[in-house]
Amino acid sequence: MGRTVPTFTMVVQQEMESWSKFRRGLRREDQDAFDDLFRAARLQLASSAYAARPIPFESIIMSMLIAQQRVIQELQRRLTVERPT
Amino acid sequence: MSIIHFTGWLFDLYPSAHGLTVWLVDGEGRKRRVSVPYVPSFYMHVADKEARRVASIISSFPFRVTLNRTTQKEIYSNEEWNVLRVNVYDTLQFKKVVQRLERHFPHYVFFNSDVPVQQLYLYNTGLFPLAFGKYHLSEDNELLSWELEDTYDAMKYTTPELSTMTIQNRPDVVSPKFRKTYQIEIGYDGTTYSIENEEPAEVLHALNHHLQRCDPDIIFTEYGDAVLMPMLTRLALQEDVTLLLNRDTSVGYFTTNETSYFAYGKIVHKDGAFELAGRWHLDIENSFMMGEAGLDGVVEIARLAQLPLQHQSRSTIGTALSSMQLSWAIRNNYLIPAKKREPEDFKSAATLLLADRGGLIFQPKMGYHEQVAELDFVSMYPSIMVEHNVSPETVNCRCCTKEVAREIVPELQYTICGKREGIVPSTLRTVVQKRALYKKEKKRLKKLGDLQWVLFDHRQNALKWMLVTCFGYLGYKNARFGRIEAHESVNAYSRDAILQAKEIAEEHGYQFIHAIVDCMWLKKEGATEADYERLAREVSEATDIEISLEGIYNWILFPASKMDPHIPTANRYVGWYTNDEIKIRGIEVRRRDTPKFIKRMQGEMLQILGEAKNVAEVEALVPAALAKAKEYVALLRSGKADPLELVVRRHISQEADQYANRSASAEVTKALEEAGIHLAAGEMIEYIILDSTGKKKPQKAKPLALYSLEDGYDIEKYTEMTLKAVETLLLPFGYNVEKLEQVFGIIRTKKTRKTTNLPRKQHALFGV
Repeated sequence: MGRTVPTFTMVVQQEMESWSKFRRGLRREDQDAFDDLFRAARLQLASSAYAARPIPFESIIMSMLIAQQRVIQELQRRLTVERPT
Repeated sequence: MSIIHFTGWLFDLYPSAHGLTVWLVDGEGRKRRVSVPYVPSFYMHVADKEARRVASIISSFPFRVTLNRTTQKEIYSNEEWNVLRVNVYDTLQFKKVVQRLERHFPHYVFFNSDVPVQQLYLYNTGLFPLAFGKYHLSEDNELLSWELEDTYDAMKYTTPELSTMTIQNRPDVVSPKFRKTYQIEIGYDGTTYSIENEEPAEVLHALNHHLQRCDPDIIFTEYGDAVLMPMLTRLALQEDVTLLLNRDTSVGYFTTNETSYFAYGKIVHKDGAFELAGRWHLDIENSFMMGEAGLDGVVEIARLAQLPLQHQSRSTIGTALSSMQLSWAIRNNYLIPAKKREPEDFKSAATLLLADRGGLIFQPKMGYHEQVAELDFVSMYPSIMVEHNVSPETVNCRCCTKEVAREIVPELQYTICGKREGIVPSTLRTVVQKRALYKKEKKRLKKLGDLQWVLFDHRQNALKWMLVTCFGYLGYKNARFGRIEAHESVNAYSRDAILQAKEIAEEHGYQFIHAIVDCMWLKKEGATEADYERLAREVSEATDIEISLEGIYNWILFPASKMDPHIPTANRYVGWYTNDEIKIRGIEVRRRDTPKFIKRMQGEMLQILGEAKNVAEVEALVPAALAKAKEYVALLRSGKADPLELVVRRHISQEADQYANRSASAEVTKALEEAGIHLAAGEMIEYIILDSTGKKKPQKAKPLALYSLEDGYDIEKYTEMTLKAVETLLLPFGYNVEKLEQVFGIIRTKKTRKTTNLPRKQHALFGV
């Protein structure tokens, strides 16, 4: 059975490659941050595949935002635990 | 004229000049060859004008072929079609008639025309291999009628005592495929006879002597299809000796060519068949089912699928599934299209985007976890097909509108027929039910300590493979009754089911650790087995698919991806259940291409870590596991490791002259070719790495068949492979290859490889 639609893992890979010039222009420390963001996209394969949006980059950005939001939540939690108001 | 009654089993059948030859066997081991008159037929959907052309063509055949008009049902429309039935009075010429007519009518569809004659006979009569009953014969050995005391889908059935013989090339480290000698070993009645002779004729006469003495019903071989049988028959021809391999010496052998084909992203090689008449030749190296479920499994599938046993043992599971469907079609007067002609529906881009996806995979949370439970949907895909009536002719059927359809497929909005049960669910239902009963029986007997449980385990395992593969065939282009929309529908139902399961689990406070299509790993502080059982019941009820608690783990490890140590990877894990059983997927110790040496080391490390009841205890055992790894590495680096344990196995993707690169596989394949052993793409090679860099020694690797101890092995390469396997288990505790080299005191002169970065402890995105 031929696959017409690529898997989401392949989509993330292709998207990342299309940004390779952008990445090259970044400073080393920013490149690390860039790589982290794309890793975040790879963690949400199920939801991105299930949603199957026509513009996959939207799902990729949403995955990145979720990962960042999780970090914010965790940091907020730590702040309240360590320095309760 | 008196009639002879024979009580026994149907053993073998094949076409012959008078129709078919059938072999029967009784409880005393007596065999009887009987003849069966049989006129196979096929159908053409043609108008009267063409029918006249058909009549003029068949009149030129030197044997009898007749025509008549009849009606049969077409499966997709469920309409009665008026078709032309072509009856061939010589079973051996059936294929030729089909081919001739196909040449004259290239644009017409033929029905029932590409099914082997003996299978058509079984479908038409309802007989099947090893059917037990009373067979009535005429004085001149013609099968007149029968009364079966057996059904093809019977749960309990008897099988005759069959005599067996093994014929083997002499055992050696090197498999017979890679040797050029012809000493053979013959085993029967508990004795093994070694036959060695310079003269090939002497070997053949000795073989004939043993064949006559033992008169085996089954001949087991290893590589018999590819090597042994062709070699013996070639020698027999050359030496002018008549071999007694066939019980029926009036006919020849049934052979097919070897093939290489592309499946699931890799090249697969299959040896050609070498089948006998009146005996079964079973090549245990050329039978998937023999390897998975033994002779019990082969018999189970042959009966259920009504496939002659020798053919079944060599065919893929898809053949068995499709045979069940063909039989169902003939029983219900449906036409079997010769070549698939149901095209894919046109769909909008939006539907295609939604439809062309598989099951859902939730990436695991990396590292060691404790108190995790695994819940698996039982036979998810077949259950969906049976429960939701998913079949090529029921999805978007021509008879039901959205309003009257049985149901609408989630996400895709396809309709499912509410008027008839499809061919796929009808046939699968039997398999699903049978397997459930076999599993129950196996459990019951095992509890009683009855050794018969093994038989039922083999049978249920054989059926399991039918259920595992049935889904793929729904969308497979060579499947006769496959249609991509049915395939997509099953996927849509599966996604819906796993998401429902996730929602219910999370509702009850369980953490969703990992999920792959039909199984999921959950965690909840303090949850007991009873809690998980309750959850399983709730999910089963909501989804209509049974889900069962596979077990609870003391600890489970989801290792990092080999490509990027910061992200996890699906379907690779290892864990110990609370009942002291281990489950491993995808890591080195389970992989077929891992050298035995490394498998053994990782296995022993896992035994050590298996003592741990939680993650803290795993951490406490890390020094002990490291000490074990150090022993192995030291042995490896002393150069004294057993080279036979360092053998690497790979399937080759090309033939010797097609390789353009200088990879180890290319070198090994070429070296074998030069030694006179030709391998086709998809076949397996075994070799030992001598120098992976290709700079110090003339060869990167040497095939096992040509290896000698002085060749040594590539210490650095094997050290690297070994350390990688240690890293898989211990990376979560900070041991990557570089750290391991420090700990083990390994000094490398040159930095030749990339090191795996340790995952940052406080990772901005994932460590928190």
